[in-house]
Amino acid sequence: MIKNKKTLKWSKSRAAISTLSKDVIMDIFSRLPTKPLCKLRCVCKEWRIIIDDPFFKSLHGAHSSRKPNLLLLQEKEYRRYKMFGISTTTVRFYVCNPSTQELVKLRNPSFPDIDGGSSFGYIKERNEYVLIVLGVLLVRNSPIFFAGGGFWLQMLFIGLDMGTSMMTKRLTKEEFGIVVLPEGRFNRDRVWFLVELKGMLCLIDSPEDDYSMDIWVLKDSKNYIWAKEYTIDLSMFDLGLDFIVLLDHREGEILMDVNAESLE
Amino acid sequence: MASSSSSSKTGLKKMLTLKSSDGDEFELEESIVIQCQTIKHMVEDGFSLIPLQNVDTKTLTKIIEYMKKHAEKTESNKEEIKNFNKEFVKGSFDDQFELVSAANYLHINGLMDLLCQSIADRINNKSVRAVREIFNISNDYTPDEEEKVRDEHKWAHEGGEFDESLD
Repeated sequence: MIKNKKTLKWSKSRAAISTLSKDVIMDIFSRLPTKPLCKLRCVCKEWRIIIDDPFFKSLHGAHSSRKPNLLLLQEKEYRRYKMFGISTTTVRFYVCNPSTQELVKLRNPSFPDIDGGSSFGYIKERNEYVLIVLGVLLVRNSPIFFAGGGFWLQMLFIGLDMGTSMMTKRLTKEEFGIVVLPEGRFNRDRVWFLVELKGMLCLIDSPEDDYSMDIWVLKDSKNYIWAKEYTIDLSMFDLGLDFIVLLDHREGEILMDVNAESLE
Repeated sequence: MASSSSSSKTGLKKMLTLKSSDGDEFELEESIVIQCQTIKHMVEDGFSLIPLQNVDTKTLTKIIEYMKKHAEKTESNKEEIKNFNKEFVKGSFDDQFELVSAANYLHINGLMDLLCQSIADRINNKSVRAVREIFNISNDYTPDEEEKVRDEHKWAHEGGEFDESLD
């Protein structure tokens, strides 16, 4: 179009671009938010390949989580969590990635009843998102399930290959797993929810009263060894406890959402 | 442009010479130059004249300016460095691309960070067409293909005006 005007400049900028190696491009891209990245896939085929590359996604994820907009990122995750639609008669899960506005319906889990809450987590080692569903007491009076003195939970593992905050979202696998709860003094009615913290499955319960909360961490997922890591005094909040949601754990601090207000 | 034997007042300080691809030589204190990992390794290997075949004089001058400033970094002049950085990234895209390539080659991490971030910030809201111009990329999609890729993330192309300018 405006070629004439450009000829002079071209030789120089061509030299420049030829030296912009793929790793420099990736370094620049890794600093961009998701939206412009999705847009830049249209620039040329090579850029689309770079942006879709799993290695780049992990780089982008690492970069995003290093930035101070960490909380914002978590908020997004939280919203994603909030967007699960669960109905008790027909159990159906949807996962929404707010940064790309994609919505995926998950296969209906094949268990009879969902009793408690559900939670959504990210397992860094596996680069997978996990949906945890609590409170499927399969058959309450079955001797098998009571054998250990605890009860069984059914856990739905859903490997979602979403990149960290990125675009493509494919359901890679949907698996069920069953997790045995810690033995002992568990009062089933006092269990609140399961949540993922630091890549580990945690169970939140409140055995004594409504003003304290225990966090149990599943230390060994093969042998179901649980440890009570924290007890949190909640009396200062004076809130309906149902509204507490653990969001994240970073550098020794637990981020909670109490009545949708973020606290540390 | 000419070679600078600037701070030769130094008595004991070890000096190094950097040679640009145009053949210009720059003499610098070792303590300044070791911000650059590539050169640091060469110094450790005993080199004192370092030829930089991928860096022309114009770019090298800018990079030395950066390294000198950042070698002065202390607790008290943070603001000054910040302003320096701000000015440093103001050049044209082409100049920034030259610099970032050189910084990558030389492994100057701080400069890489500064430049990549600034380029990212500058292209953040550019239109696809403007980005192609800036990076001098020819569109190798057919119109149909491009439409398809665009449709995959339609929302990314919506919402507000994109910047069409090339600077």
